[in-house]
Amino acid sequence: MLTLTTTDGGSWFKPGELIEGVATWQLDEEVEAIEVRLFWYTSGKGTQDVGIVRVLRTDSPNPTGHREFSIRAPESPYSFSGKLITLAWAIELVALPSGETERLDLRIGPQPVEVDHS
Amino acid sequence: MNISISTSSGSQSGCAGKGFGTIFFGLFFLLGMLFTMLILGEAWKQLAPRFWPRVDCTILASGVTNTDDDKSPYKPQVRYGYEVGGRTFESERFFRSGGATASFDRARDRAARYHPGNRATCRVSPSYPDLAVLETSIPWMIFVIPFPLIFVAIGGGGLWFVWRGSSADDGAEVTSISQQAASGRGQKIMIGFGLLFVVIGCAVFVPMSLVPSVKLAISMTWQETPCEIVSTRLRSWSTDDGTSYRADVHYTYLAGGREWRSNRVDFFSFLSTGRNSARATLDRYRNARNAICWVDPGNPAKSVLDRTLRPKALFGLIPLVFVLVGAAFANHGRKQLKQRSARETVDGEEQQSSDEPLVLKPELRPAGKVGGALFFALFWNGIVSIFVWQAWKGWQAGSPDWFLTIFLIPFVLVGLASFGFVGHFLLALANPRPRLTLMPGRPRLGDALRLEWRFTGRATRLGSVRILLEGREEATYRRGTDTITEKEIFATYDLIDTRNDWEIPQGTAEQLLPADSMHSFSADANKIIWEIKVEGEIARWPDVSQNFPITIRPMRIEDL
Repeated sequence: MLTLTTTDGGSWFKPGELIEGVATWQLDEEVEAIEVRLFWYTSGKGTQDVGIVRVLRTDSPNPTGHREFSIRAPESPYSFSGKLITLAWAIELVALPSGETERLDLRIGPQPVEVDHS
Repeated sequence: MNISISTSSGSQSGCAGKGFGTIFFGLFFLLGMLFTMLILGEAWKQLAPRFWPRVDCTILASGVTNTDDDKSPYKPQVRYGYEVGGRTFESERFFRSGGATASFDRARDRAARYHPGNRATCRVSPSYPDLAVLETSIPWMIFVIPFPLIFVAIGGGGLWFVWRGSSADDGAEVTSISQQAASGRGQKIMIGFGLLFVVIGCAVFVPMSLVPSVKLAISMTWQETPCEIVSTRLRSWSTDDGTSYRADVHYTYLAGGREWRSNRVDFFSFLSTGRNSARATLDRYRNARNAICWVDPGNPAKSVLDRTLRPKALFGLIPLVFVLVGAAFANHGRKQLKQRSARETVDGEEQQSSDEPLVLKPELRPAGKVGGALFFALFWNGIVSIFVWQAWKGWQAGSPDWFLTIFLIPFVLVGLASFGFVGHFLLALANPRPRLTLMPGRPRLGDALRLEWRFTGRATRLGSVRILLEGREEATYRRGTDTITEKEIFATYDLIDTRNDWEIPQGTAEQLLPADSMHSFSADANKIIWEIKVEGEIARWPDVSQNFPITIRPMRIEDL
């Protein structure tokens, strides 16, 4: 089982702000590595684009454990919702190589709501 | 008796897909491997004599022999004797395999290296002493190996995805999105494929076109020499596309105190031609009296009958298409990779000089529009003209093909329209051109943007000018084999819209960029594009229409 939480439970971060939280895992078997990834991705009409901004890797972790993370939200791109494109941010906790994943959706931008041109 | 059957349709369809994928990609892989092994085997056969021991041999006879193959009718025939382990052997094997050629001169020159009675060195197989060669050859076919390797790569890659892709998903409740983040692998593959095309194109272009063209240029210094046509023959052989023909004309001439024989008609003789063309060449020389050839004064063995650059030489340019397409692919991949790395650059690094004024570059220059339209027109009409010619031949022969004629009408109309566009863009070259300066050069959301415009050329011809700032989404996706890009405008700001003569030639406009909008963004398939559009109306003449992409950056972190 994988869980991801931000320190204050918030999901909106201004660019430059610190995204802090805890990743915990309770796995049935040993894994090669655990990664916490901050990334953006698109959805909508176009083929999906994904851009990983930061990866925090823990090699050969114990099957049960946790790690705190602190990642600065980048200046761009903003969370955005248009007629063709939706750009969203997320943090994923991924166990490798199995690919078992937990995801926490975020919004990054100057306003608490995403830039909306839909 | 109770019988219970449990089924899982999901896993069944998964297994079926996996099975089909395995067979499909497995076949690709196996066929690719088979051809790779065949090529490697043949290449090794030619390479192996390089590792055989050298043995002294005596040349017994030397000359050129005819083969039964019209494609490569001449072969050096050199008989030589050698001794191994106290036993005497004789052989006529020049290379391990092949050695036949269409060029009499080449076969003659190879044989001429070995005079009867002279000593030479041959290579003898350590396992089979009766197997010897005079010379080793370069296994050129090794350069064909990328073709079957493409099949191996597709097959192997497909198998890897079929088996690895599914195993990674098993047991994962949430599918990872970040796992899909491409590490630029697609772009690198594109660059690799592009470069492969360039290499293959060059490898074919150099011997097919460049080398003969250089030889042709050099032959301009050769001496005019009387020659006698001694034989003419139409050579033909079967190919995948039918039958190929070549005019085989032998001639003799006196140079350097002896008689020489050659069959080099021109420097592009190796390019096979159609039957009519080959016959025309034969007819030209069959009864030729007072024939003239051109002889290299430095090496009288080299000569040529015809120094005219004929249309068939243009076939040698075909590999350039590969080179150009490959270069375009590689360049596109390189640009995408560069864009990717630019996106991954720390934001702070790109802030230099972005507040300075910036002279904007148009998305497409007027000359570029002419070039693009001309390329399309020539390409389209070039292909259509082949069919039009076929239809025209039918009409000339009195048996018109009505279906083909009617079918061609819309294609011909598109072709004519394409020339219309070329004319339109050519006229537009004379239009006044907008020069835009943006301040700051790369504004941020929330900034006041200032634009200066000035028209060069005869701006008085402009009846009206509209300059606007437009923000739009662009999403690209694939449907079947088509790549489709959809566009959606989300913001339009009029910077100037005027019919006043005094306002048109130059001026400035200001616009506050909304803080709650979206900044420029560019990923592989999804983009947010900001552009300044200039539209100018000219009576009875193509209008001015140019777009200038700009970059709008996100707000400063310290301003948030």
